[in-house]
Amino acid sequence: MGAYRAEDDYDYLFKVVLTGDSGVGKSNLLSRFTRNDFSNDSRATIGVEFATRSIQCDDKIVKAQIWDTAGQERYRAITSAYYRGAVGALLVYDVTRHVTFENVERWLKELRDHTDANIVIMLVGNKADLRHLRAISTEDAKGFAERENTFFMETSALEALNVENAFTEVLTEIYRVVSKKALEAGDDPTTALPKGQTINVGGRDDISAVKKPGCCSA
Amino acid sequence: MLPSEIEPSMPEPDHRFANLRGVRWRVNLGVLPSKLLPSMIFAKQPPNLAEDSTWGRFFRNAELEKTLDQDLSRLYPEHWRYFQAPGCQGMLRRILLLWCLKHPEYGYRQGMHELLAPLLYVLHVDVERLSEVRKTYEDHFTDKFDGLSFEERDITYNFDFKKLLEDFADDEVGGIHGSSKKVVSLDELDPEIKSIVMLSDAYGAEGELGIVLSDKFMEHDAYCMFDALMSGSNGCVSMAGFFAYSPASGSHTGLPPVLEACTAFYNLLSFVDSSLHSHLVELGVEPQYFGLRWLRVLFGREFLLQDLLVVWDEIFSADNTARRDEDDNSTTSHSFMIFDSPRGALISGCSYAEEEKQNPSAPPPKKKASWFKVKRLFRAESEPTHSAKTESKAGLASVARNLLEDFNKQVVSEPEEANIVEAVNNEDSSVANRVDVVNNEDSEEANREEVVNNEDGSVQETEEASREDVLDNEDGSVQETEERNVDFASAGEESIATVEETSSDVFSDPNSPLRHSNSIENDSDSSTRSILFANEKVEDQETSAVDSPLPVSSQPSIEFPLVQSNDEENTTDLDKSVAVSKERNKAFPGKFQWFWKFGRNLTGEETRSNGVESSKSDLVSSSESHSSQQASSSSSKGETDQNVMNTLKNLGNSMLEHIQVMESVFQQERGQVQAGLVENISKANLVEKGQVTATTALKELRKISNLLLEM
Repeated sequence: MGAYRAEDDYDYLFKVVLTGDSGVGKSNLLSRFTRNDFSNDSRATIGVEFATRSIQCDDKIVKAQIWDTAGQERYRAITSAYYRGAVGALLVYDVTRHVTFENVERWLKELRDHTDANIVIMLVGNKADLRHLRAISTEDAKGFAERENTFFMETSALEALNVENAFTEVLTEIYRVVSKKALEAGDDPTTALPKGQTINVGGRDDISAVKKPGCCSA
Repeated sequence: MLPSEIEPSMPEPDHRFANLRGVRWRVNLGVLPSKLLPSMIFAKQPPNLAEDSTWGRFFRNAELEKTLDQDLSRLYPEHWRYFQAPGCQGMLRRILLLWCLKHPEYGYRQGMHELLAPLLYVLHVDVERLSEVRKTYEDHFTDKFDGLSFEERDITYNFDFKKLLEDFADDEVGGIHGSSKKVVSLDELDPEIKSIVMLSDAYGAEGELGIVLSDKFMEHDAYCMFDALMSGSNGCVSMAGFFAYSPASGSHTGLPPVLEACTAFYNLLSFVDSSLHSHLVELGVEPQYFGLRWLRVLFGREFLLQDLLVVWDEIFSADNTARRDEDDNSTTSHSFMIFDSPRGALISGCSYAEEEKQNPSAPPPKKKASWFKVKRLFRAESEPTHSAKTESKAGLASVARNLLEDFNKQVVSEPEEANIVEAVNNEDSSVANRVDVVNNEDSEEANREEVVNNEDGSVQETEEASREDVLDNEDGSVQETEERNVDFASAGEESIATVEETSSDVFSDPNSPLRHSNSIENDSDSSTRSILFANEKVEDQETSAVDSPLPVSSQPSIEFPLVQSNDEENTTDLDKSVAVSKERNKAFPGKFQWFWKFGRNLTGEETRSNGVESSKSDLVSSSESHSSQQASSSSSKGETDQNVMNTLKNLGNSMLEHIQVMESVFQQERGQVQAGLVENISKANLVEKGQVTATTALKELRKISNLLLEM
């Protein structure tokens, strides 16, 4: 994606997609992260929307290009384009609606069908502020994430809880994977594109809903 | 249905649900399956969800309703008082539910609700109008025939939308206030009011019981409108198609309609603004990124509701029937169904700029002009709902189809490769001409709209302001593109901070349309934005770069097609009968791919050498290329057969000598001519002499080549 590099200064450009059922708060997660904005009455997303934000990892500037799409249907018209080149994904469900968690499996399959094996996936339970309406326990979701080898975090776009952490953790991990890949490629030039080589990105100890300081200055 | 109310151990169906007649009847009538067990109902996963099972249907419908409610609750938050009112929500919900159940092949897809909402809204406005008239001219509404009053309202369907409509500006409802003079006979009434009276009469315009204006039938009418819009009434543009995943019948492209329309849009763009088109293609911006939304809600997200109604005025008034009869000989003149009807062409040509009306504060007259310009630029920065017409709009309406037809005709009639370049150029100039026409059409369009507004009784001040501004620009026609030019000119001249800020931002973005925020910190202004908006930025930037010195800004650059068609010749072996519109499309990804291979793939030398060779052969003259090809073939053979290396070298040397002879002869000839206007006779002799030498040399060359071939 970096072939057409804009004037602005960044070292890496990562495409991150937001998936999950309709109404789980994908668009608000995006606006919270990129604009620190939340809208109580945002309309349903039609088609695709984009936003970017840059963060710092180590001494590198990592620019996230985040794709947000409509959740109600899998937009088959743009599915391939939507996932193409994605290196990270936030799979969002609504902690107050069990059905959105049930569908996570389906979304995960679609993600893995359409993206590179190295993609960094984080399961995100949004609307954590609605404590009295909670339908999915943190433990259940955490267990699922461990089984599926994805990251996990509970967020609240409304209260700006963990949104920053969720994105930065995914971006940092992508950065780690990419720099590791670059290192490997530097060691052995014959394998310029180590495709199919799975890099374990979901270390079990990493999975946490608790705030933890990453390498990124948020 | 509570668990306690259903008796779990009842063995015989007849006795179950004794106290729940409703449930029992549903079972009896087959609406619910007879094997109704509580564990099945209240299990997390319903047990039998096979496609045709009654339970499957039951749960799917429940899911459909949930999805509907979720989207309807988020419908037009800026007009929540109207659209979120329980009555309105109920109507929308019922209509959508019914339509979706009747069309299981589509079901409900997000966006449908936003196609329906404006339909219901305009019906409400009409009925509101009626009630205003009724209040004023009560006498004419008394039905003296049989005493049946059609004012009766169905309690379940009724809600007081009148109050809710106060959200909107007065002109939306249409002011008829202040005309309360008593009129004695129907004929004395204003024609418009008269028609309202007639339309609300059971025995009026539509004959017996054909009430056109009635809130009682509003829901029914809205359903019919929605259904017609979705199906397209057998026309070319069927909105439902835009929600489908499979190609429409009769499609030449084999793409789903929405993708086909998006591709059509890109093709149109490639004619109207080829530089923008190629820029987007190079960036990998696919048309469906923004086109999907434009089409699925018919620009509903790009305009505010009031403006959308005007846009839809135009779209709906355009004919939707196919125009295939014109050219029977070339039925496949183009592959895009959307261009087949004027409505489709209009949609694909995007739309008109009407957002000016929305400005609530009219600035003082002196500042109007600059304010207008600033606003235009500023809006580009701050308002994602701003429409994307811009460039695409330049290729509006009728142009779309004519353009493609003409183009295809030219290509078919001039199949020579060399002519394609010319054809492209011709086409471009005709595009430029047409753009002028379109711009004129636009101004007509604008005028017409003003008339509409006048009918409504009040033209908003701000709209007038913007119009005046356009007039200030010393041009009577409302031209989007020209306005933008002015904007950029002003951006350069004026020292208004906002202008500078915005324009610099626009210009500092030469490559990436996806660039929104450069900074590490949140850029609250510009980070979240739709692709649509990003495009607009690019468009602005493109136009400014290419066209700002020109009077007509949407004129495409001429050099570009030249380069492009060369590429076509080089990279792809094209079937000339294929429409060039398609070829262009192919040419770009091909070129891009080539670069990609060149840069990335170390094993892609084949591609590279091919590319170099082909470009070379185009550049050098025919005789030279002839010899060079021979040379290259000889050298390659020499590599393969080491034993005859020396022989080949000798042959090569002699060949070179012969070539040198040829060259010297021709140089002599030229030198003679240049030296001093030699007499015709001697010149002819020289030419003859040279020709003889040249032919002998060529004979030798042929011999050598024969020898080489024998090896």
